[in-house]
Amino acid sequence: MDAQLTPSNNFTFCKSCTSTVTTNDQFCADCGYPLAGTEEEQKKFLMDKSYKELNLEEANKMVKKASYALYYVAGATMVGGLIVYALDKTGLGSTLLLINSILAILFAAIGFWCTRMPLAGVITGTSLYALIFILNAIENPVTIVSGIIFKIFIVGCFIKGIKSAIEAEKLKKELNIG
Amino acid sequence: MADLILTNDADEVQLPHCGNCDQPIHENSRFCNHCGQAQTIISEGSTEEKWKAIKQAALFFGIHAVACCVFSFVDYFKTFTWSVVFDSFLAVIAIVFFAINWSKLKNVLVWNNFSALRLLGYCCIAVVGSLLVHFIVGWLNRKLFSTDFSYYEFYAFHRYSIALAILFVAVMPALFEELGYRGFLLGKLMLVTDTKQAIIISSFVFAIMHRSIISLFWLIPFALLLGRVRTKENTLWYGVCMHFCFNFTAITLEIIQWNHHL
Repeated sequence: MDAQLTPSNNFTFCKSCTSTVTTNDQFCADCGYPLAGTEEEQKKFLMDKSYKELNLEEANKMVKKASYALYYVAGATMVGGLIVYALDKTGLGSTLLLINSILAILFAAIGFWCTRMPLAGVITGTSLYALIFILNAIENPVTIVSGIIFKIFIVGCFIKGIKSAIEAEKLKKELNIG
Repeated sequence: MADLILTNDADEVQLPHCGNCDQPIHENSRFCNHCGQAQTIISEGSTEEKWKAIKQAALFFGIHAVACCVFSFVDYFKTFTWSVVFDSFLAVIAIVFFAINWSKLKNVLVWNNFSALRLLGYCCIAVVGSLLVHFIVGWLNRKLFSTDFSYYEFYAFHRYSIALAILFVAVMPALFEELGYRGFLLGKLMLVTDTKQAIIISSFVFAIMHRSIISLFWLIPFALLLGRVRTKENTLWYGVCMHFCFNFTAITLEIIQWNHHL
């Protein structure tokens, strides 16, 4: 029963992932490459793999775009805070500057964190952005339309980022990386 | 030689078998080396299903966010009656979203692994955390914003002030925030991504919903702990008790301080 499992000296390398396999193996235990399959099967496997890798690369690019959008929001929040502070006459300027600085740092940190946990990063960034949008809209309804094109662009980046992060997680699982 | 065979046999028993062709495979194999079947469980739902789950979670977040923001930033709603209306509204929203996903989430309402000792331990952590936060945040608020905010102020002039404060600050949030965030939101996110990321997302959303920059620093760790307890113990009730202890300690301290000042 364990004939195929007994260690054999006939080690060779998998053509797809270069891990060690035995000559008895029908498939690579690390990547699923059909070691004993026909040439056509092997070709199909490699093509399928490179297609998935391409998709993963594309998805990662989208996530990166979302993280750049977060950096942009961080910058805009900081600049906004500084402008409010400079034009302030009510004496609340320093408090607002402090709040905006903390928010800017938070956005930048989330953007940076997207490289480690893409889905969590983009979703938390989006929810923070949405909450601040709602807060501003209630405080001052004019903010809904101010810079609307940028806002739509940023939200578009976030939504695509979330979708891509889900896709990337799925592809990583299928490719068995990460 | 005999020894060698024996150990081989022992290994054989522990080796996993491929679910597809039932042949023995190596422990860390990602694919069966006989039939090529993937051995890791490839994601349960499709991308569309996951996106749908995220949209539902986003709707929950949106409704909560708008309701919370309207209540705390529109002066018209800053009355006792309206606060009861809003608290009830948020409770109903949490129940409705949980009920929609009843079949997938109902098992968190079961408390199979009840242990008084563990419950006491968790509650002690919550009380100590609450005490620490109360004194540190009180000090920070006075230093940075030179104001001392009190939740109790809102209820203090009512006839049944203490009972109402405990109901609306300790009991209601413990039940319905847990149901909404650790029950619905975390459960839904766990269908989308791994447990770790799901806990982080739900904790962050829970923390920012309180609309206070300073409280982020203690709400995020507290929510992470609640999320961890919820996934580890597989029940909502430890979290409900911890949340209650945390809020109850805070409101008790505020009632004491309030009466002391008078």
